[in-house]
Amino acid sequence: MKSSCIDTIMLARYIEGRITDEDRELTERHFSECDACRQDFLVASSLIADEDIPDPEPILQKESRTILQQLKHRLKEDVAALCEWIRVVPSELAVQPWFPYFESREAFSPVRSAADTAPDRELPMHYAYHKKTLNDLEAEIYIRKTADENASMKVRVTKGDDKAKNVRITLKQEGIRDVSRPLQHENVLFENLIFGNYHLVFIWYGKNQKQIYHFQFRLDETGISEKNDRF
Amino acid sequence: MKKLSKEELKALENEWTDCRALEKLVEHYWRMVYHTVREAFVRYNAPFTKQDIEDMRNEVFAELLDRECRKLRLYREDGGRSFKNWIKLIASRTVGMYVRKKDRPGVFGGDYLMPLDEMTKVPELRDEIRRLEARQSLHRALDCMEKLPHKECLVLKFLFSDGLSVPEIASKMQEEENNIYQIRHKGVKHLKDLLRQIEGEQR
Repeated sequence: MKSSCIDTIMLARYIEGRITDEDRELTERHFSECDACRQDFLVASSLIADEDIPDPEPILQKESRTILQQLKHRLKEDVAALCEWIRVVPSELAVQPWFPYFESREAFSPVRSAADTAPDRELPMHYAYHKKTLNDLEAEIYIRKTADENASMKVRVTKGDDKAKNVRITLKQEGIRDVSRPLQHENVLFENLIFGNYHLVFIWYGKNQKQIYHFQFRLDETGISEKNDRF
Repeated sequence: MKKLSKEELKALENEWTDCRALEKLVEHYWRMVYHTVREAFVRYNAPFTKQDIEDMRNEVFAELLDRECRKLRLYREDGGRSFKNWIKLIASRTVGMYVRKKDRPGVFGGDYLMPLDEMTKVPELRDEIRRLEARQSLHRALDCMEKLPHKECLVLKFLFSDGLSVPEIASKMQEEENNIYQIRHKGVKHLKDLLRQIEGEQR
């Protein structure tokens, strides 16, 4: 089975020789299997090495302003919501009403370790919070980074001011078994999420019919991005 | 517009990777990206029009600015050495993805079929048989190549599929030339053994 294609960072590291031996082996193995990535590598490395590509004069400031406005306008039509990881100490969260729902009291206590010189020092955490409207329902998604490329996620769904009833939430990821849970308490917890692409499916069993809502997103080192075609 | 000094550029790179001063990014790299995109089309052996280059140039900048300049931030987070090379890499990959797109519009798209009345020569049966036999031998060799250890397979693909010389391969893989010669020698020997094995099985 062919390994997954090389991402841009890995390609850059390979071309610049800033790659570990293990990654080099993986990358070269992939190049031997994937014509497209091998071709990308050959073209990119020859462009980077080519000193004949001119370093032209900059364009006028007025021109660049117009171009930038056009690009931003175009991106507004395509771009999806992005929530970046927010770095905060737990005591700062306590003033916001939402987070105590999701975290135990202990999470907001200062963390002490032998290495700490200041006893009251709190360790920062990284979280992302995203709200999504699903017709009559509203989903609030709270994701907390638990390790370098790992996170846990809690999802709450409300109708008006109350917890939505008869809702089932399924988390899908390619190659991994779906995890599906009914919204019985205030929220649904999904743990051990590795950075990658996910698909949340909300099924609401209304009085007369079933309604299904989808939210596709990507978790990575920058935060959470809603997926669209450009992904 | 005057060109920026190295220090001015470095200061601006910090701003760009923070998604700021983007006008300066466009100002400085607009033309360079145009040239890089054109060169990328050439190196992908893909036919192109002026419109293709302009579209791809816009696409490259859209990629850089998209999702709050995610690709610019990735450069900084990875501790890359050359911002200019990062831009060239993004440009190259953007063109690569476009060239491989099956529904690429226009004459150069993957779905383009040559109309019968544009075919000027009807091939002879004898030539076609020879061509078919050569293709079959080539496919056999390519299938056997996939069974080689990955380093030997890669070197042979660089040599025979991509047309690189041994010094070029050594430079790209950051290996000694002697190593590449040895890998080539082993690879060719293994390949011959595999092909002989297949021919023996077929008789």
